[in-house]
Amino acid sequence: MAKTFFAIYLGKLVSFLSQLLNLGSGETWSGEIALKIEPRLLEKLTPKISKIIIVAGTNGKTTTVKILKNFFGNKAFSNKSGANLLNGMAGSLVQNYPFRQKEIAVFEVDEAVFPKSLNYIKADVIVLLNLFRDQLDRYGEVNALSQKWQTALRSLPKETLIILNADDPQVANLGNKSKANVFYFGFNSIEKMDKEPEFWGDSIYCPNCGQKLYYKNITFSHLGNWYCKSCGLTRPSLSFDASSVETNLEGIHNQYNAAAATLVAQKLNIDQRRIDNTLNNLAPAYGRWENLNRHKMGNHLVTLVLSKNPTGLTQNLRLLSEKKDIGTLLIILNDRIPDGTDVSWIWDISFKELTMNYPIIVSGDRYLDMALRLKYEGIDLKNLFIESNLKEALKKAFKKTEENKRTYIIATYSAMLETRRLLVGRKIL
Amino acid sequence: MNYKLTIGWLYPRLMNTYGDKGNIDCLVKRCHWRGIEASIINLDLDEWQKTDEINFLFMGGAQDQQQTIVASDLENDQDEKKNILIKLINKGISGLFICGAFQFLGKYYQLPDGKRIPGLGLFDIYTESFDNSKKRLIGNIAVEVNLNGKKETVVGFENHGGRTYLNKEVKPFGKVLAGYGNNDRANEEGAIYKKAIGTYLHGPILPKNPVLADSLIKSALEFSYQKEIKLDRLDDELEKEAHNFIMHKLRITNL
Repeated sequence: MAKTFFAIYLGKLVSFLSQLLNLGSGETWSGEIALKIEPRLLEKLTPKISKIIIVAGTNGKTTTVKILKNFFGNKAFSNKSGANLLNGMAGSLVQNYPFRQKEIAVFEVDEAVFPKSLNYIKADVIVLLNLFRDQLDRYGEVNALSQKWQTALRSLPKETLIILNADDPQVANLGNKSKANVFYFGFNSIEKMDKEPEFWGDSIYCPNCGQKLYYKNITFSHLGNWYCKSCGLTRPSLSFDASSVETNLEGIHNQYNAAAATLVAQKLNIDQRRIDNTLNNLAPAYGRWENLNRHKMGNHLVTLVLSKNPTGLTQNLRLLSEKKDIGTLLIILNDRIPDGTDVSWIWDISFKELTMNYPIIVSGDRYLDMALRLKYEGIDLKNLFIESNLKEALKKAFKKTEENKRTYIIATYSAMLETRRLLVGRKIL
Repeated sequence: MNYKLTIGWLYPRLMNTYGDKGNIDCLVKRCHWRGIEASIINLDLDEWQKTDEINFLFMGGAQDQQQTIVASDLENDQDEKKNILIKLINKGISGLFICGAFQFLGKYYQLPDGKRIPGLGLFDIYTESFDNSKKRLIGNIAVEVNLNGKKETVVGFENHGGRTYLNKEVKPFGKVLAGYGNNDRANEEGAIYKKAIGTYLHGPILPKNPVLADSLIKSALEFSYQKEIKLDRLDDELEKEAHNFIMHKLRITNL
């Protein structure tokens, strides 16, 4: 008991110092230290919380957690976005202890850590958003990951609420063998429909028999109303139709996120008016189509667009192609641990959505790879500018953007944090 | 004379895990920039058409499950597809086989449970894979190869759990300058049989290695047109810069 308290209060101190010294929120560090002192911290503290919700998946965790937190208001706390390993969860427990009215914990959990986390945390609700190709150097292969998820879900008690994306074949299939309360969200009808799964979609094969899947309609990547001609497996029936969701966040991907969060909220008896009101007044999560106007480098209009993997970037390029106010596009590609050290994924997507009527600047650790990618996409090299130094690249972008237009910045994770630090003064974590 | 590169792309939807499609983009563009026509024929799960028009074979990498599907498809119809490939490669067709595809060219690929998936048997090599007992070989890699009589460096990114072993007579693609290579013992990378190159290098391999890309285009055209072909030079400043960046990253200075 004493050990636990020591762990908690030392953790709180670490976090306080970290913020004082402007090193970030310190959540990961405080959690790391707390776990070193009391390795069973998660098991000891989580039972004190009434409801624990875990959100995992390749894309959309941060936004979904944010929506859920907004639904629950003061009653909920979450770990900081990106601090989604065990130490991040521990850190948020340490920060929010002794909980009091904070009876709901919403945890964003990294895909690879999710199975393990269930050994230490008894989750009341589990939300699995999707599984896409991402950071192959880190996650290995998508199939392997979904196998681990399946094993993890198998041992859950039947009271657990499991919310699954029916439109993602591998995720939907996880509900098949579970004895818990499984509910599905997906799209019953959508206006724009793709005909074939995008080229590099990972789950285009039947999770049951391995044969090619067919689709009645596709939202993007390998998501949609799928069915197998070989073994007859079909998409599970929907408990919630995402096309009924109205939210001020842009893009179909956000409708999925909002649908997942709404389904959870409905199951937990949150008032529908509160749900609707929240969904229509959401500020985007940091870096996700975040507008930074008036910042440390001037008054330029800037929009930050985090893009971490082929699916995310393709969706962002689509949304970008609809914008009429692009002054300059700055693409920053890093290859650090949070970005994935293998940048080959940029070749798995098409950049043809970019009209290229505006200057494009490339920067980041792997600026040359990005430049090369665009060269082979057929971009006019007269419109392509290369600047390895990020601050200089930002200056260049602002200089080339006309007054009433906006600078759009596509950035991988660490690049986004660095850009934010330059423009806003803080990194976030 | 109007030259044409006709790429036989093997299992594009199954064998495409690591950005290897970029190799096709690279070859096609480098042809277009020279006024050479380039077309792609998909050699997939359905019936293969027009295989006699092909002068270049390409196959990318994939996860275990996809490799198993491809292996069984190649053996359908009494090895009909398998035999087409073996015949073309023996005739000297130019080809690039990445990662899982490279493993396929060998005698077998052994899964962690000991089960062996037979390969094309063209290369006297075999691959063993392990589950979590051995670490995956992941990271940037530079290899010294011999292209058209000259020593060249090739850079890329490897990510494989399988360890490939070359039997004595087999020529490797190159010598590892930095990185792992075929396995954690020898410092060789890939393998060559006639004009078919097998390698673990993703990246994708061709964009940052324009000399290799052009060498493959040259071999492919020579296969079709049966005479020596000289390709127009292209402006490869950017490609070379990107190439040297990786060499620098791997701290390779003197060669």
